[in-house]
Amino acid sequence: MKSPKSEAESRRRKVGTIGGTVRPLIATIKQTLVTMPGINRLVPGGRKPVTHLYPYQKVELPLAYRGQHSIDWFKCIGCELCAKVCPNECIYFEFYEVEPTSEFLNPSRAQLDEMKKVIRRPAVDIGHCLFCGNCMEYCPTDAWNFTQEFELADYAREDLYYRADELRMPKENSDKEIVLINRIGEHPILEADVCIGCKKCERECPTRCIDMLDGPNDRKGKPIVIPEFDYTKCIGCQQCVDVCPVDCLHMEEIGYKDLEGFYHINLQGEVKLLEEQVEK
Amino acid sequence: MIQRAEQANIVGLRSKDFVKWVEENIDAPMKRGPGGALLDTLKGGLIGEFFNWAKRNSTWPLHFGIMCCAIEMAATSDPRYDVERFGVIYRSSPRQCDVLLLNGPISLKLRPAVRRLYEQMAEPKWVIAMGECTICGGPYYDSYSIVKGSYTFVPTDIFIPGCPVRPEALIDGFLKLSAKIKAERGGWVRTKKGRLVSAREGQLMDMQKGEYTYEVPQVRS
Repeated sequence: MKSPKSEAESRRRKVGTIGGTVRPLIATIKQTLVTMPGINRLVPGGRKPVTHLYPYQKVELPLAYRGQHSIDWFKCIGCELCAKVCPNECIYFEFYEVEPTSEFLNPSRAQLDEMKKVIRRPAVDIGHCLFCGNCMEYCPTDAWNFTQEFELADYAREDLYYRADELRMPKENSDKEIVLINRIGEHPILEADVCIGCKKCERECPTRCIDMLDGPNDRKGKPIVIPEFDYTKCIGCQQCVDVCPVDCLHMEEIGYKDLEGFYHINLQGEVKLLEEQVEK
Repeated sequence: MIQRAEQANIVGLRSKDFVKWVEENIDAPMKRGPGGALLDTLKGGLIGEFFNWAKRNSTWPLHFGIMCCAIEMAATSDPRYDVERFGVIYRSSPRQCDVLLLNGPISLKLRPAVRRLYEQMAEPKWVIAMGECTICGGPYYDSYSIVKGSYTFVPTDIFIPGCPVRPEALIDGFLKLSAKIKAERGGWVRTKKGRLVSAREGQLMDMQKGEYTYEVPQVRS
């Protein structure tokens, strides 16, 4: 260790030729050689260059990276749940007329009504997208996917609106295995007094979990049918709530164990929460 | 109606007006002179090509961070994604810059300042909208105080979607900007979907026909 010098002495000291020119030059040359390909192995402390040569070198992104959207048209059932959970409301739905033999109709709700040969598929305004992945998380059929494509820069704002056709996943990438899971954790609850028995919810349900049963009489004393939900099949897509003309349905969180006792929930209006079930 | 505070921020002479003035008062008399034909051929030939090459290889952006995309802007210039490889050097003064890099939501209070910065930059100049907040307001799209997109008040050349934009995506945006400058002589450039758009000017929403009703600060000529 060097002996500590006084401040005045160190200020007086002049920098010589070696200290001012040769030493920095050596340091610069050494730093150059340390990362120079080919020579860096011979130099002590040699390493790879830090810089990632992006346009010439392939970028390795994690598999879970969320870039460009891609939608599996075989799996999508057009329930519009992704548009509902989107925080930016940047998902739009487009209607496509298809032939009755089209493979996209299965398990689409369009199959229920044979007169309708229309499918709905999501389109995204990428210039407005948060890339949060909510649409992927809540999708009941796992139809939403994200690719690792990140080079989305464009010259015009209009070209950032991606149509449903442009976001379609290639046929080869799709495994065509349909899963139906309720990821939102909510189920429709019926207010039986308000229901008029129009059967619209039954027609709209993509999983056919609604069955129309004999219900109470309406105000005029006429007997009507009311929907009964099979909560084990329900995927919580809220389509029945949307089409109901008298707002007699609403979504509510109910415990998983209550799924078997759905009769009570429908007819008597009792909703048991998970905490109450656990206490018993 | 322009507020008084905005009025105070308005710049007297636009750079485009200055270019127009130069063309009328210097270029036109020179062309009428004896060397006019020679000047035209030089401008369209090798010298114009040289200037185009110089422009597209030194796009200096303004070091102006608004919100979190500014962190990615800083990450882009670090040793890992060395953006100076493409001649992108951040400058602190708008007089030295070619590119106005907007990264974040522009509030109504910031809008006159951004417009003023844009007017202070010397021609030729370009605008990059980085991230969804700048493109259309992003998650604050229904806020009372956020401008719905930079293209409502400055002509924007490149839109980079992402939240936030990856450093590689920003580099890709700069490369696409240089491709646009290269196509300037032809006048047209292809978007990612294959549509032809003008390479000579950025996109500016027509306030008369556009869907947004926000007013642009008027500039006195």
